[in-house]
Amino acid sequence: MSRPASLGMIRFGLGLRPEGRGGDGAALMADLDRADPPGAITPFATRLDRAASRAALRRAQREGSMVDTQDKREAINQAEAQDSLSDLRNTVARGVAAPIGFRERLADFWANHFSADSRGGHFRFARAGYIEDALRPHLVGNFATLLRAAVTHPVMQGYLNQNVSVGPFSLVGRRSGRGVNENLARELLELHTLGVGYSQADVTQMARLLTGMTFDLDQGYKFDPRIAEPGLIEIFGKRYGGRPVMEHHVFDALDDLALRPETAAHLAGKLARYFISDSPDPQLVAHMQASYLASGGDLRVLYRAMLEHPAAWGPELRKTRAPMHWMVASLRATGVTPDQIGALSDRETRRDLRAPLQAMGAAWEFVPSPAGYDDSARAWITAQAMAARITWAMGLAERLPQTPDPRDFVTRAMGDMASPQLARAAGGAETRGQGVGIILSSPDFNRC
Amino acid sequence: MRHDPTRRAFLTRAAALGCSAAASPFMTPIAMASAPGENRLVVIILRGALDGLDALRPMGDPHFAALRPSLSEGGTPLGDGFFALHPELSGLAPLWQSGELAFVPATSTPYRDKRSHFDGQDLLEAGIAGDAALARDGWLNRALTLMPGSTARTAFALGRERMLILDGAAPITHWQPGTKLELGPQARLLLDYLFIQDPLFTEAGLTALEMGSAPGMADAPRGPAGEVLARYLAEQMRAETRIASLSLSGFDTHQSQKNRLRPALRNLQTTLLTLRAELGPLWARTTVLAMTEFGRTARENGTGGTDHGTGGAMLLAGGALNGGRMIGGWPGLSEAELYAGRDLMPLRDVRAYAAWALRDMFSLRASDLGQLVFPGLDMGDTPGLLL
Repeated sequence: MSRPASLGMIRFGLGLRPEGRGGDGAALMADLDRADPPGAITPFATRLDRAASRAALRRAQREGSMVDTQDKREAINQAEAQDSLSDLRNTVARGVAAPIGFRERLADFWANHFSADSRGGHFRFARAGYIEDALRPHLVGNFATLLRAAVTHPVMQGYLNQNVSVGPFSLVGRRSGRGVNENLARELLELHTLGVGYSQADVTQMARLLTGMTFDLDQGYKFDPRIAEPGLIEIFGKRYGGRPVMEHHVFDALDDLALRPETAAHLAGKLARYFISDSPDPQLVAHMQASYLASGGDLRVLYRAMLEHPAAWGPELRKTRAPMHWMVASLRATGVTPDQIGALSDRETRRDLRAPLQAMGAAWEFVPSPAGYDDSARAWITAQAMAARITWAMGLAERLPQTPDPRDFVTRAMGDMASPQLARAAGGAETRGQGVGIILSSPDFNRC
Repeated sequence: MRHDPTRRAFLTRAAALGCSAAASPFMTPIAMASAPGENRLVVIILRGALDGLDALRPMGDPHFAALRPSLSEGGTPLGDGFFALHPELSGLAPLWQSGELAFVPATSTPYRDKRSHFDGQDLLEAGIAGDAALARDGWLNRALTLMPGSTARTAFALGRERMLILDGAAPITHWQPGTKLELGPQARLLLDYLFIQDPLFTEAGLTALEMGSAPGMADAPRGPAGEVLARYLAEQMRAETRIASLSLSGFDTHQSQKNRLRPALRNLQTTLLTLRAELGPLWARTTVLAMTEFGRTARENGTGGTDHGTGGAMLLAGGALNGGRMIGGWPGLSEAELYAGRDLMPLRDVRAYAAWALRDMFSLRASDLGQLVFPGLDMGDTPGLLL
């Protein structure tokens, strides 16, 4: 495989596969339009249904129903947990099956950008469904569409307390004395869009405007005028809202945020840092930012601007693979098939996929904060996480049905990007299995 | 566990995993250093912005009850009763009486108005006043450079109960260092060689290879996270460790604070009491500073919580402490006395207290503290932290 092709597979995709194709710029752009195979992930609607059932059963119990609902609730919880393991298997299998994986990497990028999980709320294990339903359909469209889908999703709203925010002068607010919660508004400005260039007053105003957005367990997301703060709300010199305040007033503000130059700079810089380097070439970022703004916030244009810039194709690998990415890349290189992953039992899924991901610092269905994981190259490479990676790599290499010759495997895993030191070390291992495990554990293979 | 001869990043972002809205990471790093002398310093970072007005309630302030309609009930009065401890901290009241506990009720870093956890924590740990993006190394790390013969390292404690929470009821086979990482000597040698080629991987990779034989790590003991951490830390402090830092999280209480702050405070109390019990006579040489990135709004919000604010409380504990008192004064809670009309007004830079603790315990020079450890800090008069 030619150099730009293997570089592209490693830097922008999920790593090489034995039957792999090239990862040059054109191939990467074509990967964006690959349709997601349906049915892989438990839809959020299922999680919502189950949350409603659980709530109804709890209510019945409280109201003194003669029937014990314990068994029914446990059955629901068990189905939730099993579906979560199946979501994990299918996510890994989808990554292994992807011809290139640029689209998968982008899904990961945006899932981290719009960081949210569902622990402690109404839903159990709903993060995968949130990513599948709210983010993946909009990876290539307009950022404003993606932003709206993320911000209005019940998982995000629950995670950042939007569902308990009430306009103090709304119908409900005046009656109950309840008030505004600023959490989603703050992260919307700091993390999802602008990053810089806003004040506490802007957060407060935005929080007032967002009131009205909430969800319930019957219909999911909804705009409820009874909790929406009435009147005109000024944000960055523009007035939104009215009497009554309507959902589209909020959407107008989100659309405007999406097109602000601070947002463009934030997204361009973050994307370049995610794929290319912790300190990307400023000209590359400027080119991405300008292209995004000129296109009216088109994500496809943003990605193309990154891929067409020479600074995106420097030969040195400066980033490191996140745990899921590294795991998928290892499975791709060793030729494990998506079917083999799909055939794992729940117990094996916990032992071989979920527990290791957790030990590597990226627990399934978990986000560490509204800012997501630190995506700097150094962040994943802790002693604890490296011990987990070495353990998992050695375990995988030992269990392969046909262990490749490590000297060939270097090329299979790294193309022509392996260091001479790695090639030498791979040839010096005691067994084939150890050689393969060493290659997967090596700094070379952990970089992207 | 690897004793690295190089100075390791102490209290830097790498040791942090973000906003406590999402609870603590399941692996809690403790940074530890040896240093000359017998004095011991523990810095606890309370991640997520502790509500000082709830942990240490100014019951005697005439405006407090109105600002906190649902968050002022109960508590254990201290001294003259102007302040009361949150019920989950009431186990610390005996330490107050014996002079082993003190608070700075109104302090903060120089960080103002943005109220971002991530930047706030960066500045707190870096000990600088300016742009969080300039945070490169931690203030404790810089202090170590002034102590000849000091060395630093990082340990990783496994908080088992956090893993169980993540996993739900189903038990899983845990990865445990030492039980599964069984590499032949040749594989070890080759990996050692490869990790040395790439500076980004050298430290983590070599430490990972040595973790298998780390004492005390193979069998992560069960128990509340704070207790496990404190027991492990006390063991290290009975040996060579003189300076340590760790972080506790769960303090970001935007709603239902009444319930949600309790486990975090309980964890803090357990950590302190366990340290004290496990250190025995060495507690007399120990000072603990617990600090947070910023305080929370003086007013309760509409959802029974508090939002990101400015001034907040710092906790000091230790057998060497000149405690049983409030340090640094009280600004008051009237509208005019609040910072920007919304937050507790910080009266003094939290770094000044850290600087005085370092000076009193390790005899560092004031000029070095004000220039190298906390650049640009005016240490001011001594708060007389130690006996």
